[in-house]
Amino acid sequence: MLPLEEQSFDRPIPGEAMTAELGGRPWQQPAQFSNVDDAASYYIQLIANDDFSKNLIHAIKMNVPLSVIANSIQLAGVMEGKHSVDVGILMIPIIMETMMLIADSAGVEYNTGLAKGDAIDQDIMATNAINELVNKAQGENSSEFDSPEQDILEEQEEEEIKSEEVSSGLMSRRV
Amino acid sequence: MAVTNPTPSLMASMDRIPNIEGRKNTDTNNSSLLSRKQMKPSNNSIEQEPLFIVAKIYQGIKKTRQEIKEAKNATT
Repeated sequence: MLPLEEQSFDRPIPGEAMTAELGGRPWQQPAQFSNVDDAASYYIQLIANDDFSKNLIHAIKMNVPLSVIANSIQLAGVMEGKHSVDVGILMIPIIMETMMLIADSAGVEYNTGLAKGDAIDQDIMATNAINELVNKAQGENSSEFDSPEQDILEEQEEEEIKSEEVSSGLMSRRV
Repeated sequence: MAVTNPTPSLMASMDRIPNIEGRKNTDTNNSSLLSRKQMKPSNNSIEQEPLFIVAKIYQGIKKTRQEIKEAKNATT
């Protein structure tokens, strides 16, 4: 009888190669802002930045709820090791209020995402994004970019011209 | 287990907090005279709480926002 081979447990766990060492990620390190004051001033400065506020207003115009943006921002802060998760949760009202302040200053209507019926409407977001792209393209190069209605009209005109050309043959009947 | 979004309840709680900057010490008891010294901002432990700081900043931003809104409404 053959002896059973002893199973070795001194092997890497499946997927271990895809993980980082403990402490190798920013969120596993001590947070950069350990108190609420520092974290709040960091976020207020971040949101008040011109480039950031431009992109923010762009997102607000596309009907993205402010609560979603606020959650994403604070979660990114946690991932970057800026602050801990509990400080991030406390930052949500400040981030939301600052975003509302910017939107009100710019005169943009916003969706807070706090009411029960304020869920993200994918169709509205997609429509807004497409409309914006079309407007942008028309603004940049109006001669090259035509609306679908104009394309249809041009196609109809081309077909009419072709049919006239076809009927001018030797064997064609005159109407 | 369903993951719930804490934002609406958090914002509702923030709105329920009374105005911090406008609050006054309503305690006129003589016995509180001794403790009043301890109620100074530097000694008050409540004012060192993170939630208190957050509420204070939140109310400040909200006040500014309301002022901007009112100014815009007044011009239009």
